[in-house]
Amino acid sequence: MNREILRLKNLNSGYADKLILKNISFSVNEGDFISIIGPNGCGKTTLLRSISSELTPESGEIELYGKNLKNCTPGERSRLISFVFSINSKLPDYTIEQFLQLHTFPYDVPFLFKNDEKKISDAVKICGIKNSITSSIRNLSSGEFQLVQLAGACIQNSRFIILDEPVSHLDPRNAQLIMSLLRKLNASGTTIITVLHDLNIALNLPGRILGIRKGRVYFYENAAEIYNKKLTDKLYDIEFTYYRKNNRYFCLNSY
Amino acid sequence: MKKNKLIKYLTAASVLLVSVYFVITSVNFLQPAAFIDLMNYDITFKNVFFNFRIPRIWTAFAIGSALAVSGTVFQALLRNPLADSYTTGVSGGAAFGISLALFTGGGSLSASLYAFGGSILSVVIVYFIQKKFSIFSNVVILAGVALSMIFSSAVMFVYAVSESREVHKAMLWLMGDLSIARYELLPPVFIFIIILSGVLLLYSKHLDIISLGKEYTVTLGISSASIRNIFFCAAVLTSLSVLLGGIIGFIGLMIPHLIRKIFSPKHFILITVSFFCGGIFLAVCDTAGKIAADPFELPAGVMTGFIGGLFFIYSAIRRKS
Repeated sequence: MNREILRLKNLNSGYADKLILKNISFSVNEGDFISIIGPNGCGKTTLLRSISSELTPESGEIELYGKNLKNCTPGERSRLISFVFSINSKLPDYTIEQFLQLHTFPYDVPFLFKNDEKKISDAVKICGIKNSITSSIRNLSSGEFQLVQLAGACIQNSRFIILDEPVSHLDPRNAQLIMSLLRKLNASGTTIITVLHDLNIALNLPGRILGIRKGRVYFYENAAEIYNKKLTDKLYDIEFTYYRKNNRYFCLNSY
Repeated sequence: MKKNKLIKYLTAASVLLVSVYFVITSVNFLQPAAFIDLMNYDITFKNVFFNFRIPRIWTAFAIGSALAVSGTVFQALLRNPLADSYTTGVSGGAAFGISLALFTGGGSLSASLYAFGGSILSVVIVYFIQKKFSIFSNVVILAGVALSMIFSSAVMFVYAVSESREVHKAMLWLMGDLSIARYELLPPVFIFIIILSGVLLLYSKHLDIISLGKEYTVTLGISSASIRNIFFCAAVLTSLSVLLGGIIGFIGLMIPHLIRKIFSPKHFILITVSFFCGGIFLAVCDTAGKIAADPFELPAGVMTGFIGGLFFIYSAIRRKS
């Protein structure tokens, strides 16, 4: 059994006067590939923001590699997990290279302006970035930018990456590119947690699926179990059509 | 691409040289020979040049660079291109301090110190607000604006109960008139300005990350302590500029904006270039203000508004088309 690297215990979290996550408990082992699904507004992003410390939990505990997240310094946290958020705001006009250089920050000697160039070129190679690294991140398509963000995450920490809807606004080809890259990383030992909206992607990933409904953990099962018990019906309050072919699970809308 | 870059740097260098020449020769800028003659044979001119002209140029430079650097930093911290050195309500606090000093019958030095005190007061208030709510909340900008409002009411109150002569003096201060600046304050204040700008330069990678937004700032491990340090340095830098020359608008907004477009969005370059460009720009504006309405002097703040505003509109229109 691989060791446990993330554990949430009775987590309650949310915004100023609105509690969104209620009593969330689950754990993730090293090398897992966990996908998180659930209706809009159920608290998926809130969950990620609590793990990233952007939100301070109301109560409950988050343990990272056995250490309480509250006791980690920002620097320690940034060396343990890297995040890929879905960013909607306009970013500064950095080139890909400048953007990636910022991700070496957790390992920089303070105030010494030296970047680990090898790490950067390795990440560019692993993620298969085709654009010239001197092109501006503002001129990239969504798919290209997602690759660049993923390369940034690999530079920051390639052992544990958490992603928020990495393929939601991508075309099928780019979605496949990103998902197969994630599987490749996972096969080489990276632990991955990702929020997904496409059930057909989630059901065919190697790891377990965490279903969140109204701020609570609704299920935390592998794909076969979800398929057999039709758990996603209740999760979204609609009826799906399920079928299975060549060991792949499908879960289709009925409209 | 490479040729473009060369042209860009050549243009920048020549603008720089012309500016320096203009600032030094001032009224004589069309007759360099006359200027050299005066320097060689006219003792009074030489004395005036070294004892008044040069310190004034350095004062303008110090103020301009402080404003440009702090403007750069506030735009990054608040991720708002409309932010500037005064977004924290520093100018409001300074205006109140100046008015109070003149009302109580203080001279120019006490006006400087009151202005500094007033601006530090607003810095401290906004500092604690951002400490409580985080720099990523809009509360910081709102608090700065509200604070400016409160202070400007207080200024109006002071004017309402004071003599018109004092009101005029205070107005000159608020317009950024460098002719009443206190040169003896220059050396220590300038050293502080250089030190604080240097400290902010060390934080340039932090600023690069902060301007990407809250998500990156948190997950790449920028501590809130470093954000507070950056905020504090930039705010004090603004207050120091107030201490030297009152309130001079537009530099903190315009210079970082243009440098970011022309050179680079990386803060190491942004802060360095803004430091020099802001300083030279204010020195040019001050000199131009002296020449434009001879024998009167237009306050430097008026000139930055005129020159800067027109140039800003021009460059904005050009970029759109």
